[in-house]
Amino acid sequence: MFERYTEKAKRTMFFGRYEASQFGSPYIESEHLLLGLLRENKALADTFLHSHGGMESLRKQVEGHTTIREKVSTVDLPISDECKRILAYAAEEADKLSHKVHRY
Amino acid sequence: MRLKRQISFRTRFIGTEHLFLGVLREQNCFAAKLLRERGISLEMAREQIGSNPPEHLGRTPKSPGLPSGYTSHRLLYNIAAETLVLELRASSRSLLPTRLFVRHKNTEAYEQIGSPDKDISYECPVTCGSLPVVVFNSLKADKIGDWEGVYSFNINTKDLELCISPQNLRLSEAHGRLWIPELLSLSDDARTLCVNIGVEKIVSGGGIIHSYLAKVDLRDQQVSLLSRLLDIRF
Repeated sequence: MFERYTEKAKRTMFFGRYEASQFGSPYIESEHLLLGLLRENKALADTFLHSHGGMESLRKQVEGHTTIREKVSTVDLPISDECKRILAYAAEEADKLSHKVHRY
Repeated sequence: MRLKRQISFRTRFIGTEHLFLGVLREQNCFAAKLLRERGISLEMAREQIGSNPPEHLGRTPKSPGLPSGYTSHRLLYNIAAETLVLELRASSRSLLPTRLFVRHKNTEAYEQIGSPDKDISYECPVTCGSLPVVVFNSLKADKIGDWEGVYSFNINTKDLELCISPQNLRLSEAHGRLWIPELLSLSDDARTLCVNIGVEKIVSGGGIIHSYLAKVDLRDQQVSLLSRLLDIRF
């Protein structure tokens, strides 16, 4: 499933799963993916979140949104349906953006 | 001979920036809501990401001596001269050409390598372990670029020398146009350069372009093809 993913994108999925397990979530949800994404690609966090209280405020909001359950340690947490759609959109974006890269 | 090329490099890899756009497109998910609350729209993110090379959604470098409008693309270190080599690419859709900078590890300010014209990009630097040498590619900066050649820069003396020119590059097999879009590595004695090379094969009715991993001997500009690169598309 992740063979087209760059190393960073693979690590994002790894961190997303880690975030989900820390919150005790039975699924990897979009917010876990986002936390994983911002942890793995610091430039994204710098570019888009620098003037908005950064990661801390985002993490607090995710905590506020989540019913914290007991941490799960299972390695194969399923991906939520929302997240599956996100991954499908990401694949579409990769195909779309690649047309615009005309030079090295 | 002027080499006109139009390269459409399709990276079909899915990177973190694509995942980020994916999150924004799934409008009703909690993560997208969090981003929207912070004023981040899909259009804005696309704009920002589309103009940057994959996974290099760069930080704006803050060291003295660096121009604005750029993001860091690649950082190398030359051990022999204890010098950092920084490649800066345009950070927005502006057509700023790619530039290279060096600074000794104990100094703060960067100095630009050479003084290329506004329409020339110096890019894709490689360096070696035992000599104070940086070798890099030179291209016309517009999207349909002309390959200008490969330069060698001596960090200590600041000498800049054209070490591969389109006219002098030689390949023993029959071929049409020949050009180097990307440098990959430099041998320790700075004599052999590994590159991705575009080779046009003349067939009846025109030419087909193949991409190869190749070695170039910098003393006589002789190319040896090492391996066909099927994963790079032109």
